[in-house]
Amino acid sequence: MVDVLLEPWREPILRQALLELVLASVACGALGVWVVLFGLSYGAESLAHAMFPGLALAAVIGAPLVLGGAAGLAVAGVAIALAARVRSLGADNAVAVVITSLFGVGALIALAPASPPGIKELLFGDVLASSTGGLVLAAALAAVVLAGVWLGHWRLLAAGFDPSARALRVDVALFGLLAVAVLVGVQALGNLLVVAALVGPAVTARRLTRRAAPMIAVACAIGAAAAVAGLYLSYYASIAAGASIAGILVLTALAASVRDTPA
Amino acid sequence: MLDQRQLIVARDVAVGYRGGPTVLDGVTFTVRGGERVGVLGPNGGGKTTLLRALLGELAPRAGTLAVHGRCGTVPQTERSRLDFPVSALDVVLLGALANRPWWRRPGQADRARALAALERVELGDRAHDTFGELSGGQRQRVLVARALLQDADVVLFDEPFTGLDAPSAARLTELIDALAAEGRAVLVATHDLGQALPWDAVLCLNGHQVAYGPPRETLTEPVLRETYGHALVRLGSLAVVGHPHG
Repeated sequence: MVDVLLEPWREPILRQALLELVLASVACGALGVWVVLFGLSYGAESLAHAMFPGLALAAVIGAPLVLGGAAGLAVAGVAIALAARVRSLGADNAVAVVITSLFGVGALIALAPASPPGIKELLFGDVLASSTGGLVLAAALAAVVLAGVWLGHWRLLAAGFDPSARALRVDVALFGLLAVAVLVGVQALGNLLVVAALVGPAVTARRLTRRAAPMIAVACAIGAAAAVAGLYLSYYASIAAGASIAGILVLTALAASVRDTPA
Repeated sequence: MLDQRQLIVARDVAVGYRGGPTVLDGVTFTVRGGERVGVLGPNGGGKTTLLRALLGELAPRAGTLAVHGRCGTVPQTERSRLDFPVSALDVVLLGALANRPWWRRPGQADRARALAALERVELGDRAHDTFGELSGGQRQRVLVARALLQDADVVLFDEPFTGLDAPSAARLTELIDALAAEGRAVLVATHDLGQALPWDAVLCLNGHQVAYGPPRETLTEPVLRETYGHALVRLGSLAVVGHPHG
């Protein structure tokens, strides 16, 4: 039994993958609590998709993913603002149209035969391909997210408690941190599955706790536990690690919600 | 010991929201430390608008409005998200954030003061209960404790008696009296004329200032009729405000 538990971690590549996943889980778990409490899950998914063409282009030309993601966000912001001015479309539909279009462009770039190998992993992630440089960058970005969440905790609490006092700068700061968290998770989990790491642990933690600070700690722990379980599943069942982790997170959130639903 | 300073001085104040018409004008009154003032008027009469102007959220369009000292507010609890995961102690600690940079977190000293403020409103034993699980009266008292943490010289209540049962309302009235006895100026926006009768003054608003002065001299039938219009119903010797939420 002990051998079964220890065997995967004898592989250096899996130890590195675990470290990267724990960083992503902690960053996404801490921020995901605020995403869920502020009702921004759809916004988080839209933001992750909006960044995709920028990430894919950056990967093609060999630029840092951070720059690509930021450029993708800027393009998405301008496109949404312009589309929202079309009277017959409406603001809500404008977001859907722009995000879907941008994601389609990103998928075209990533899946084009001429694209260099490895770009497809931006969609679904490839945690086993993490490098030392990528790990260091993920650690730095995760530190930015955790510092932002730690320092802004009480302001976020005030804005959530009294929605009428929620200033625009709170949402802007939250989406800024969200963009950074997506960058932490995109290598390991991919642009599509990183949303599961943001929302899943927070939804489960919301059912298990009654205050925001413990909710953050529990969400981080659930994310990290799902990373370990997902890697075991991937190792022994030979299925994709990112999908295993996302599946575990979603099932855990569903189980917690069902348990908490009155009959 | 009562503080007899003039804590609020309003001179011919007009207020409105950005891009909209003037909601309230011709407001002139002075409140000293230790005074309790009932702000009366129908819905849309300008009570909450005046409180927001006193808090500095709305700038006067005309006239002068001066608040000397710190201003704390006890908003309607309906403004708060009752499903939000905060304890009573957390809510009181939010009062420590005023006038601080965004990255400054409440410290141990703030925590001790917050616990003392909760003791003061007789909720020390409920400090770790979730805010949304408290009764309406208890939630009001938690918000009073938050104002206490701000060391407010002026405390503004917005419809604090709405939805409270008689014992909770009596407890809140005692708390308002105690705050004033410490030298704070207390303004209470309310629909309840009876609550305001023992206080030091009433300010009657209906888009403009109808009257200001001691309750028993000020609340005459013509003043009440101009303040509440058709919502005023006479039952024997009692003037009753009907359909306050209409």
